[in-house]
Amino acid sequence: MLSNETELLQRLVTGDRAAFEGVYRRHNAGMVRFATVILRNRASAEEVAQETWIAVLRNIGGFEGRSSLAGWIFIILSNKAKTRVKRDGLSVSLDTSVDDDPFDDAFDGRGRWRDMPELWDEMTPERIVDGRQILEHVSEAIDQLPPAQRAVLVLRGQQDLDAEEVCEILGITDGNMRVLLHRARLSLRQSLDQIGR
Amino acid sequence: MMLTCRDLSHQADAFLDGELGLWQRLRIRLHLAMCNGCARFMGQLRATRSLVMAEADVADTGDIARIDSILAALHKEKQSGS
Repeated sequence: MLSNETELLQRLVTGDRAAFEGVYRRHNAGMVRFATVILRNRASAEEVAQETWIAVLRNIGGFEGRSSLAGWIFIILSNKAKTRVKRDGLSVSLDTSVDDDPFDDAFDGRGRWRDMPELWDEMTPERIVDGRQILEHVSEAIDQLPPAQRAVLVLRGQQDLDAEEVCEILGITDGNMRVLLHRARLSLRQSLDQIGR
Repeated sequence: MMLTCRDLSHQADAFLDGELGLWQRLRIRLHLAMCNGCARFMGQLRATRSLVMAEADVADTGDIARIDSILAALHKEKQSGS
């Protein structure tokens, strides 16, 4: 466990409101988005996220740091969402299968680019600060990803969970997780590539 | 053996996420130094990765009412339990 995470945990245990607000702001949107993948319903996802926060604060004193704090929060969320899905008689299974890579068509028989990728000089990270419109486009593109890709992207690409934690939560192999993450980023790249055209 | 552009595209995420070993990173850097297409592709993927992370930071500015209701529910739970 990182030392700054240890300090954060101590503040959470003592009921420090500012510490909780920081953790809530860091994770809540990702929690709702992830729970929406499992529950297929945003309103239910918001309820489950709220239940998760109450459980997190209730049990924070017993958190032993075997996983990251974020990993622990998402395991609780995942369990609560799956319980809700079963209670409602829905299927908990997430289609994590991956078909042939459509991106392979971008290369010729010798593995070289058929068409040269564009130079993205308009989308450097420095421009992100003022790029509200670009970020809204990213949000829409993320919400249109296939559920399993969206789940991996949220957990690994946004919440920065360890690869092992993501695999445990989703019940998938490391190889499968990497392919799903790769596909998700390629889809978003393609979506962003079309903005300037 | 030299990496092809297709090979590089498959390893690009692991490269950006810092998951590759020294030898694999060197092979990719060597290819990037010689291949304009892959250098552009890696730039695109790097920007995509940064934008995805930035989107997470602005996605929730924090709903004070929800935070209050979580803390109130917890407080109520503690009181009824004591």
